[in-house]
Amino acid sequence: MLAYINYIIPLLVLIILLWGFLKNVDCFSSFLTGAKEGMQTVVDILPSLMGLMVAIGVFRASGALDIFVGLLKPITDIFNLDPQIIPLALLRPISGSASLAILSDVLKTSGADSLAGRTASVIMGSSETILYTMTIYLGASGIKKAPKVLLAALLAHFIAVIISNYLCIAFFS
Amino acid sequence: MLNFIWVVLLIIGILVGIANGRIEEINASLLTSAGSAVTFGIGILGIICLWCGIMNIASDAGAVNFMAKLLRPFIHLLFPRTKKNKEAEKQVMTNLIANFLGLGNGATPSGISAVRELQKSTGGDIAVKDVCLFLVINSAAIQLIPTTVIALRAASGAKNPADILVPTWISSMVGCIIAITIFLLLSIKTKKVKR
Repeated sequence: MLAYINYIIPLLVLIILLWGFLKNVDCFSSFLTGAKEGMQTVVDILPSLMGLMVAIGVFRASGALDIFVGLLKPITDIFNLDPQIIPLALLRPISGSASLAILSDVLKTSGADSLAGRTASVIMGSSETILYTMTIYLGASGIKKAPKVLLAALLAHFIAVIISNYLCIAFFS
Repeated sequence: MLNFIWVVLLIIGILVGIANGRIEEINASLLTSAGSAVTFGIGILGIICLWCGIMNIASDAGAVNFMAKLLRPFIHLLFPRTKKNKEAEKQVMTNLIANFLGLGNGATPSGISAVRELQKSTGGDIAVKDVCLFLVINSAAIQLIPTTVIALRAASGAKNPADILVPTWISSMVGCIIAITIFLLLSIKTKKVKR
């Protein structure tokens, strides 16, 4: 069942290269321009990522994260969720680098191929830092209120978290 | 917000650590996390560069214009204001496609312009329905290849880092549909949102 997944990325690279080649794009220099942008992005987020990874590292080492996760267990049990992914679900709408730091913590402590690790990956990949995006887009346009947007987006986010968990159970176990 | 979260995590972490008698672990964590963050940054750098490069080829080959053609009918349906305002149509499509392809640098400027254009000629500081819907759709990240997540999984030793692709696609699409549905239900009920 997992074999077809190995085709997705190589086929995509093949299609893009063929397309670029047929359209007379200077593929390699275009590739380099994009790769440089990607490198710049990583360099730009590194300081905040470092700061947040330290904070989350300390929070976990102190035992505070275990206490927090333990408190949530009665709620997460209702939806069959691993409480380890709740900090990610809560931080995802707020900050991209904080959720990245949390995801790397979950992958490290639970394992990248564990159910919690995969669910966390799916949540990270399928949701957006909605509070940040809204602030930037509305702030730059001089709009003060966007009725119902936040409520709808956050409700949908938490429903999607629960769906992600069931999808991962269905796909991987 | 991030300021608050960061400070609270560190303060509570250190206080709870002292109370738990885990000061040794706290000390070790403070000193090693910073270094491992940099190792981690280098670990994800390769895949992110590779994919940004590949997607830039797609972008130079005209992927945005190509997909815009496919997307246009849906855009007109979801955002009626784009039928008359060509600039709004262009910016909305550029933003959604840039997000889909993971052209991160292209998404924010076009998103801001899209919101401005959609709001144009209303004069109010309360977002019109098209703007609200645009933000709602932006809240679900429908992305072809979630590069950062895959890079992170590869750096964490996943056997097949890309194996989360299909559930991620399903989850983001379902999430987007749910978000739109909830928003439409909420706005029908109150009728407060201007068209």
